[in-house]
Amino acid sequence: MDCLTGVADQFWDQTRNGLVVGAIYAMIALGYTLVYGVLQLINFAHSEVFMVSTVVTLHATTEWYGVTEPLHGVALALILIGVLLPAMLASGLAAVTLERVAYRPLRKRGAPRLSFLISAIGASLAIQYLFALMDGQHSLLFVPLPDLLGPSPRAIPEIMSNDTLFTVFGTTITNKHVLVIVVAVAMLFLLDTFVRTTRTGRGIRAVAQDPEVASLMGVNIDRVIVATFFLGGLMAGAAGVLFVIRLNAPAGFLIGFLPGIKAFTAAVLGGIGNIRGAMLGGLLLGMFEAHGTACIGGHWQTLIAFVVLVVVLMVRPTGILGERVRA
Amino acid sequence: MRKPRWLVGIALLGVLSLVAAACGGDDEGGQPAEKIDVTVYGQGAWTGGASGLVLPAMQSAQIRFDELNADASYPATITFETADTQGSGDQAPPVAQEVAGNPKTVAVLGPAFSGESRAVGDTYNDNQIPFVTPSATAVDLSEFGWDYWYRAIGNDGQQGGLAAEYVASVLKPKSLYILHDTTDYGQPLAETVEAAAKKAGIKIAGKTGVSEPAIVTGTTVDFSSIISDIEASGADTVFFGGYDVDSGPFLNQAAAAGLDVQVISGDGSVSTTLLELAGDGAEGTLLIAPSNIFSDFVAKYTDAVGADAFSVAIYAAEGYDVAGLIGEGIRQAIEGGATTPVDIRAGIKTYLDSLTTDSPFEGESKTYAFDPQTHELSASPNQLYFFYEVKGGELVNLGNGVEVLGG
Repeated sequence: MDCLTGVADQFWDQTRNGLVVGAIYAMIALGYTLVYGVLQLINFAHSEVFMVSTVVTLHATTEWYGVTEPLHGVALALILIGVLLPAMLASGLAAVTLERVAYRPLRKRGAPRLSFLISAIGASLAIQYLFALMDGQHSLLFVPLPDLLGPSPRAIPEIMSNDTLFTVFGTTITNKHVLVIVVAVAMLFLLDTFVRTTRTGRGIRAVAQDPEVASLMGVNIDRVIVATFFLGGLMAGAAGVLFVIRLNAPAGFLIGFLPGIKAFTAAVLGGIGNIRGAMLGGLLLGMFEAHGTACIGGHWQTLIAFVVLVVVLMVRPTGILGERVRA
Repeated sequence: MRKPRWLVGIALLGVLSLVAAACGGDDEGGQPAEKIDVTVYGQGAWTGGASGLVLPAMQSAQIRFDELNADASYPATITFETADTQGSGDQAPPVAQEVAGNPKTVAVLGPAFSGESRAVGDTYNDNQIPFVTPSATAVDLSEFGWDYWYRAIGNDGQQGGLAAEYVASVLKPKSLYILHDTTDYGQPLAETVEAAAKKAGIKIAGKTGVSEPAIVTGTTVDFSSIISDIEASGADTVFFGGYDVDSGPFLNQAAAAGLDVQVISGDGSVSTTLLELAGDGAEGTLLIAPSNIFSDFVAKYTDAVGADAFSVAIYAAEGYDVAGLIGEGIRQAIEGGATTPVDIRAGIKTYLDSLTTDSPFEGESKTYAFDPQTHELSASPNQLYFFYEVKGGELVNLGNGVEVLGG
């Protein structure tokens, strides 16, 4: 099928697909960009922060609420809130713990940048494989590990049925599409507002600009950093819930790996350290992948994404929107 | 104080008598005074997302080995060990090193997947360890010249051809869309179907692959862009070459998106995992596999394994039969005079080479005779393949290749 006719024929369908997928990438990308803005660190373990929320989603839907059939109306809204809040909190806490255990000791010792990078990668692998052991059959130092993920695959039940809500430009929009877009837009808007108007948000922007001057001006660096990780974790948590619900994805210890890499790519594409850049990068990446499939086929998706990244970086090394934590 | 000489003398005497006792044990050959301790390794995805395709075979193999061990006249004690690669070719080499390094290893049941077979075949072949696979179907495995490798099922060349024949003669679609997972199992299979379908005159509406399939990355794939592409192509039938961890979500997302196509997939999708991940989306899916999941053995499997039994007992009968083949090979090797694991390995190979269509091994799912050149099964492909349909959340038997396609 010719690339241009393919893209033209499927334009609105693929745009919808790209925006929905991109919204999820954008939310995860925020975690990478916020932490980079404040610490100049690529938090590779952010993909595991995402993974934590998928595990919470699994347990919330199957064990706490016992969902077996798709829900509607008020029940659905309540369950969604009841899943989103714990999952986001869990991810936020995971991010904060990560900061405390993997990065703060290095910061306090004035360690070189490389140590942070190694710690990040190490933390990512350690958390992944710790969760790999949580299948109810392993113990760590004689303490039996909780059965979170075994036996795999652990699929979540269908929480919402897929109802077409309306059609625009010939594309059907279902309630799952609306859920993802609405939650993503709300989260992004709230984060943007938070960083722009609150005191902690100002602190984040100040530390991102110049940590020394910020501390001279009375900003508590440690608290700002914790807040940054927590916010990024909340975003990744929301992304995790939406990801699982949208795809009925089974929870697994490697589930964060690929979304993490793609979100990181999106953050760099939009301008690492730039919040709006992360959002833009996420949406753009989603669109390139979707339209790329219509153009030359799904197996080229990853290649297209990375070629675009390289080309953009060659022309604009700081990414599309540049490198500051702007709000 | 120096030790008195007479103490040294007694110590020497003690050591000598111990040595004599140890050496004197097996001086009478042929009499099964002691069972020989041997180890057989089962290589495959014992854990991980792909385990639904491997565990039924391993559980059934364990049943067979337990039967042999319980038999007083059987001349060996078989320990069935786990060689867990999670089905990944990357994780396989260290596992194979462990297997080859164990002096008690006499055979390998597996490797279960084709990718891991390619990764370790040379290791086993160089160490002269017979490795018999109950489930790895890639065609090129028989082309590496491995003398010690045997395949106890049909291969993807046959599978792809039969799937295409089914599509052409039974389904007769308006057009066919080819979807694959870019792995070295799914892509060749899908391309075989594509080539055979083209030859049969079926219109190919489109072809695409999944760039990061879940079988490789561990993350569920978002098929939305591919689903839109299929819809735009106007195809009414899709062949999916890949594994359950990808075909399951594909079926689920396609149904959710309202895509109305007939999906047909190969043996990588025939598992309980597919039904779990696809949910209602699996309804009406057609499947083909070189394993009879409705054979008489399956009842025995479910009884013996109990609560851990998989509802889709893919390759269970084949796993049981391969264990039987290895077990019989061990018996004949020992009866032929082998006493050490190294000799038993050679004896197993001699036994497997000796099976012909006139004197095959009678297994639960079929009879086994291996072609002397390729070590593939000497049987017509139509007899080796079985067709299923998903109805009411379960797999339903449509018959084997002979019944469905004739020949």
